[in-house]
Amino acid sequence: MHERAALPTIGEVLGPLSILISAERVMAYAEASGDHNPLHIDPAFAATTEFGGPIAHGMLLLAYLSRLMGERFGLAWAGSGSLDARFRAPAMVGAAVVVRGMVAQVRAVEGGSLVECTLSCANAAGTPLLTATARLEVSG
Amino acid sequence: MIQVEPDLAALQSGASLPSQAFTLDRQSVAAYLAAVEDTAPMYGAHEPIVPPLALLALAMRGLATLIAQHPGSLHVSQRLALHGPVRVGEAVRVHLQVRARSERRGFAVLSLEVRVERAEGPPAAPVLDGTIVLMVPLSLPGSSHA
Repeated sequence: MHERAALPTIGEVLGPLSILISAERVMAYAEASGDHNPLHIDPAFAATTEFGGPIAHGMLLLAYLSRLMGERFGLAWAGSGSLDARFRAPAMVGAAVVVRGMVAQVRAVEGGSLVECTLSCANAAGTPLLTATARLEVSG
Repeated sequence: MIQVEPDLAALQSGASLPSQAFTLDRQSVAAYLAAVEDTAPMYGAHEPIVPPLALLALAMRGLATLIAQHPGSLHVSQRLALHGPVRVGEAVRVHLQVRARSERRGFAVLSLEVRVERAEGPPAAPVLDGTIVLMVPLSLPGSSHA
């Protein structure tokens, strides 16, 4: 059985998570996901690209957003969530990122609430790397 | 592993990749959770839930194999919707279809629809669906074509 999360309120802050995008983390993700694109894991190749070095998998950044949502909303996220995300800039390997969110809307529906959250992943300078909107239905 | 169409950049709108069935085994999900350092209790419960992004990432393994043939491919945007929890040990089938294709600055811009459904029983409503937008270099490594 899972615990029911407290009802969210507009303006509630999610996170932040501060994460160093280390080469080890990126390699672990490549192994776990099967995505061995050299843009992420081969510094020599990545140096020849417009980015000048390896960048994190977009899906790794999305996983961090999902972490925030899962920690706050539990099974409601894993079972009824939706995500609409756009990558704005690459997360360079070796850089620190901050992942955060906020409850933007709560609308009562029969048996619960529809919740909309804004999410972002930014670099240390505050430049957005990824922005997203997540929606889910919570009971109670 | 997807083997029928090796050149992702050449896929045209309407093209489907061969559907793939796989089991969301405990080892693969555990490796994913370790990699993303997600310790939410529902993923470690007695009957653990598969993290939504793990479901998508594992469903995209075949696609990742094609992407790896085009180093420099970029993930532009991602939509996904979940339609019920999926438990570790369940078997699912993934369908990928190109919904739109254009070309820009030496890249093919592909919009792929992803649909994941339970592999057991008759075709049913998806457990996850969504859209992946990728930019794929038009030239393969070693190719002289722009």
